[in-house]
Amino acid sequence: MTMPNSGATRDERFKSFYQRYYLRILRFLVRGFHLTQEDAEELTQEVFLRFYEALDEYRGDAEWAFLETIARNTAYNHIRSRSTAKRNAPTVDIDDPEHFNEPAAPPEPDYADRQHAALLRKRLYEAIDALTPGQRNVVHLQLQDYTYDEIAAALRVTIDAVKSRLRDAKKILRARLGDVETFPEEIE
Amino acid sequence: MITREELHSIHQQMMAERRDHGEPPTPEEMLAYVRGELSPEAAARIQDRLVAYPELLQTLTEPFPEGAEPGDEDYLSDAAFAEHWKAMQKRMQPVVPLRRSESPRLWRNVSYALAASLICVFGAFLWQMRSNIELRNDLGPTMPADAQMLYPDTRRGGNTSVDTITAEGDATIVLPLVTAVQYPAYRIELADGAHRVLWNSGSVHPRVDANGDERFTVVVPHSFLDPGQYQFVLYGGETQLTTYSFRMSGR
Repeated sequence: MTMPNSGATRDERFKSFYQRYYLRILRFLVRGFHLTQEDAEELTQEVFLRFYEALDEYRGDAEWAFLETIARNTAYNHIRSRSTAKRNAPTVDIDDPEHFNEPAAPPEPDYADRQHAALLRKRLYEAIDALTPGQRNVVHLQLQDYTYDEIAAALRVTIDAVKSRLRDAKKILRARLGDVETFPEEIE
Repeated sequence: MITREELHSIHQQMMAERRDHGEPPTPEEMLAYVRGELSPEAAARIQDRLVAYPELLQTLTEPFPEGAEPGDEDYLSDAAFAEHWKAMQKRMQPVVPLRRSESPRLWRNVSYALAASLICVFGAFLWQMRSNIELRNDLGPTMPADAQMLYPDTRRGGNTSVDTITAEGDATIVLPLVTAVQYPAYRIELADGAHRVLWNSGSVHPRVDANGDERFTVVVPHSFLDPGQYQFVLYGGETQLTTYSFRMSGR
């Protein structure tokens, strides 16, 4: 919903958005991205701080969409920093007995079976890699259990485009690999 | 027959390889992607990287809530807003002045105090420009000199002379933004005649004037630059867009 702009000062417009969206954005961050309440409160404040700073410069009509962009970008920044910290975290030696208590290894499959499995993996890898980027990404996202709506939002295409790419990808994979067990259906 | 488990296994292998081969998109890249500012090829490259980071992808796919209405349980009361507003105002810091350094290398440390008034929409640094008044911690409020506009070096045509900044006190310098392409964020560097970077604005955004033209305004304290030739360099993202050369007069 677009808030009426005419006559309202920046502070008045900001107050209106804050009162309407603060608690809902807080919940969006907690539930959507599994943040702690404390982190979510801090980020929500940051969202509105940026929104306030930029409100005077915004020339469009849909200020709510502007707020949404800032909220998503702020969440993205936070989660990306967290992911980078994890990637740079100290590692432990996999052979250090202090950290791992390895169970006995299962009996190895027959050499021929292993060769067959390796060949199949290679064919499958090459088949997926040969898809167009659009088809490949739709396949990967569906394998991560995203719905058509979510895939469309992530790739910034229509739902029909998602379905069409997935249909084409499955056709190509079946042509190259023979039969493929049923692809995961769309998660409702 | 290819089983679902085999499909998943290859999918995970490919995602791990993508993560090994590259970092997730930067916040600036994501902003440009979400705003539809990228070419189809650039957008496809962003998607390839993003798909390998499902926790980041979720920031795009998670449904955004509608706003509450007055009377709703989630609508924040006036009293609660007043408390929040008080806390927010404490976070809006005044501009801190630039300090001249003996060593240009210090200016590469982005945690050093900056005094130029620039607008930043997104990014690590937030700045707020107050119309015609710049607050400084040590000397108190000042009224800046009339703004002086510098033109991009490419617009001088055959004219090789540069503008001279003549302000007696702090110099208010206006840099018009002349580019056909919009960028999600800009950056300005100030370099001396030997092309050593003396100052970096961090991520900033232009202001639109009454004529609808976009521009940046930089306030340079009078003690910051000795007489000589200097140059502002404007970047859109990491792309150098234009330069604005000028001379500081003896003051």
